[in-house]
Amino acid sequence: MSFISIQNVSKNFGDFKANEAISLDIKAGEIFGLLGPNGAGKTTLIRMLTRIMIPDSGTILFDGKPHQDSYMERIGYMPEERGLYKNMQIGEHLEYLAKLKGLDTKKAKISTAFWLQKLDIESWRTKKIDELSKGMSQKVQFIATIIHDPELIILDEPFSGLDPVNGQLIEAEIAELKAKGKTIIFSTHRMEQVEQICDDIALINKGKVVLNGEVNGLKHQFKKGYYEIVLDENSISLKGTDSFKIEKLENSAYVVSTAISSSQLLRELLTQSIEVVSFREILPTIQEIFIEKVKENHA
Amino acid sequence: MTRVRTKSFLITTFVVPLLFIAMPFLMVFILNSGANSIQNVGISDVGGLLDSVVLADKQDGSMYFKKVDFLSADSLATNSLFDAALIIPLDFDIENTGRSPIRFVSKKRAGMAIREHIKSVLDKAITDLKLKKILGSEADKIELDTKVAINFEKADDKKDKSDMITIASAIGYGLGLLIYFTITVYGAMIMKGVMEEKTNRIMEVLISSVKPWQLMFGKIAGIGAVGLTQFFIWIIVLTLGSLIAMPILGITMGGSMPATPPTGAESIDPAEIAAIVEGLRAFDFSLIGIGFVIYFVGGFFLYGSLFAAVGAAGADDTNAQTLSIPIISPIMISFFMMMGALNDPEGSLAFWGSIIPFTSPVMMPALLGFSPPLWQIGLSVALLFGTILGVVFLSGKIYRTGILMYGKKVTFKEMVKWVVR
Repeated sequence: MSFISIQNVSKNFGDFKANEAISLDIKAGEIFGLLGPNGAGKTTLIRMLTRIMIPDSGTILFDGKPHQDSYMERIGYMPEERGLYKNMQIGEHLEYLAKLKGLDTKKAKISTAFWLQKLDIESWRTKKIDELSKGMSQKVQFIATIIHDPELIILDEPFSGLDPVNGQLIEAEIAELKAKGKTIIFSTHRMEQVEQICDDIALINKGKVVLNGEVNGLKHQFKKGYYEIVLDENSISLKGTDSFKIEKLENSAYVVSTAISSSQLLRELLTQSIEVVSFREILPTIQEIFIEKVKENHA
Repeated sequence: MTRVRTKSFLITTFVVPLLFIAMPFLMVFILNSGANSIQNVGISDVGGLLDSVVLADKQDGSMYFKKVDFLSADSLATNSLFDAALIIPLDFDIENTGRSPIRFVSKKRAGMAIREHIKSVLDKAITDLKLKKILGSEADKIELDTKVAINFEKADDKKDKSDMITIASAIGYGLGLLIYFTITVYGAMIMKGVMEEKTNRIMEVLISSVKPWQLMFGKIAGIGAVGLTQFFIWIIVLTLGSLIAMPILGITMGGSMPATPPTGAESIDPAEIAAIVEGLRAFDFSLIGIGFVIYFVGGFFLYGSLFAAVGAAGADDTNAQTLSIPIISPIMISFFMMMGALNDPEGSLAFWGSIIPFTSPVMMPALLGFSPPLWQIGLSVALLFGTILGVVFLSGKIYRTGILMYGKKVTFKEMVKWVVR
C-alpha cells in the first residue's frame, strides 16, 4: 500500500490550472523525486501535501486515510524559499519550531541539542540567525524540518546554496533518514542528484504528470538502443552490419546504435574476431528524458 | 519574547514613564532658570508715587524689589547691587500712563516672562492707586479678585457634583488617548510583524505547522500581551514615581495642605489638588476599570485583525501603508470625536460615537467617567464584539490568501475578491 496516494487531484487559481488530475503513489520508506520546469505546479502540489492548500477536487490519502490537519505534525517541510526569524537565537528558534510541530518543551530541547551536535553547529546555539552564512542557515533550516522526527519529509531544493562539503553532509543525513524508514519527497532541478538519490520520480509539466515511475525503469523505457563497446587497442576494427550501425569512434571506444537486443548484439559482435574489453548499454540520463518530455509537451 | 527582550522595548517601558514624571519638573526648572538673569530691581521713585503701595517680590524668589533714593539708567552700569532699575518719572500720571511712561532699565535684556511680571505688578499697583484716589482708605477693604461660587448639578442625578465634570473629562481623555495610542502603535507593530514573516519567508514553514487563523490570532494576542505588559509596567512606574514626586510638590495622600507654600511649583494650587483627590473618591472605578479592559481588548482585536490582514496582503511597506489608510482613518476620527464628546458627554456625537463599533473602543472609555446608562454600554459592547467576529472572519480570509502572495501589489478590489470567494 502507498504511504501517500494522490488521486486525481486538481487545483485552480481563477482560470489558471495549477494542478490538473494529478495521480501519484509514493511508497513508504522511499525517496521520491518531484521534477518539473519552473511553474510546472510542483510547489502547488507540495502545498497540498503539507495542508497549506486544499485541493479543489480529488483526494490525498496519508497512510491510507484521508489527509487532514492533524497529520501536519507527521510531516516535515523545507520550502525552496528559506526563511527563519532573523533576530532569534538558533537554539531558541529550533525549540520554537519543534513545539509548533507538537513536541513538548523537554523533547524540543533534547531534539534541538541532538541535531545541533550531529550537524556540528552546537557552538552556534546562541548566535542569531542573521549572523549565519547561507550554508549555516540552510543547515538550521534542515534541522527545523526534521527536528520532530516526522514520517514524511518534503525537501524543496535542499542543496541549493550549499557548498560541496555541506551538500554531502545533508546527502548523508537523507540517506540515514531513508534507512530509518522515512518517506522523502525531493523536489529539485539537479538531475544528477535525482539519479543518485531517488527511487521513483514524477515529472510534472503544465500542471500534469507527464512521466512517473522507477528511475531505472524509466531509463530503460526511454533508451534509444545505444551501446558503448571498448575494444583492446590491438584488436581489429569493428565493422557495422545490417543489425547495428557505428555512430562514433573515439580511440578504441565505439558507440553503436541498434534495434536488436543486447544479447543479439553480443552474438553479432562475437562473429567478428574482435577483442572486446567492455560492453555496456548507454541509458539516457534523467536530464535527457526530462528535456525530451518537456519539449514534447510544449510541441 | 524576542520583542520584550529588545532594547527599544525596555527603553519605552521604563524610560518613557520616568520622563513623563520628570517633565513638569524639567519645565519648571527651564522656565525659572531663564528668569534668573534679572533678580534685584531697584525702584527709583523720586516723586513718591509708590509710597503707599508695595511691589510684591516674585513668590519663587527670582525677583526682588527695593526702593532706593535715586537710581538712574547711567548709574546702573556701575551699580553692583541691582540688575535693573524701575524708574518712575516725576511727572508720571496715573490717569494717562503713556504720557510720561515708567522706565524699566536692565543690564541684560528682559525676556517675555520678566516683562509680563513687571507689567502685572505695575498694573496692580496703579489700579490700587486709582482706587485709593477715589475711595481713600476704603479702597483697602475691597477685594477685586473675586471667584464666584456656582454649583453645577444634573436634574436627575443628585450625586453629580460641580468638580466631577473636570475629573471625568481628565479621566476620559486619559483613557481614550491610551486606547488610541495603543491601537495605533501596536496595530502597526502587528502589521509590520506579519510583513516581516512574509519578507523573511518563514511564513511557509509556519503555516505548514499551524493553521493561518491560529497564526494570525497568535500574532495579535502575542503583540497585545507585549502592549499590556508595557502598559501595566507604565502604571506601576507612574504610580511609584508620582508617590515619590508628590512629597516634593508638598502634597500628602490625604489631601491635606502643607504649612508653607511649595517652591519650584508656583502654578500648582495645593487646595485644588486636594479637591481633586477628594473628588476621585466619588467615581465608580470598578465600572471604569472593567469597561476600559473590555474596550482595550475589543478595540485591539478589532483593529489588530485588520492590521494583520493588511500586513499579509501588502507586497511591500508602501503597498501596506496605502492599504492601511482605511483602518487608520476611523481611529483618528474617533480621537477627534472624543475631544468633541468630552465637551458634551450626553450629546448625540458622544452617543453615536460610543455605539458605532469602529469608534466605540476610543469613545466609550472616554465617557465611562460620566456614567452612561448601562443599556448604552451593553449595546455598545454587543455591537463591538459582534463586529469583531465578522471582521476577524473576513480578515482571516485576506490573511490566508495574502501570506503566500509575493511580488504583486494588491489593490482593495482584489482584497474584496479574496473575501467574497
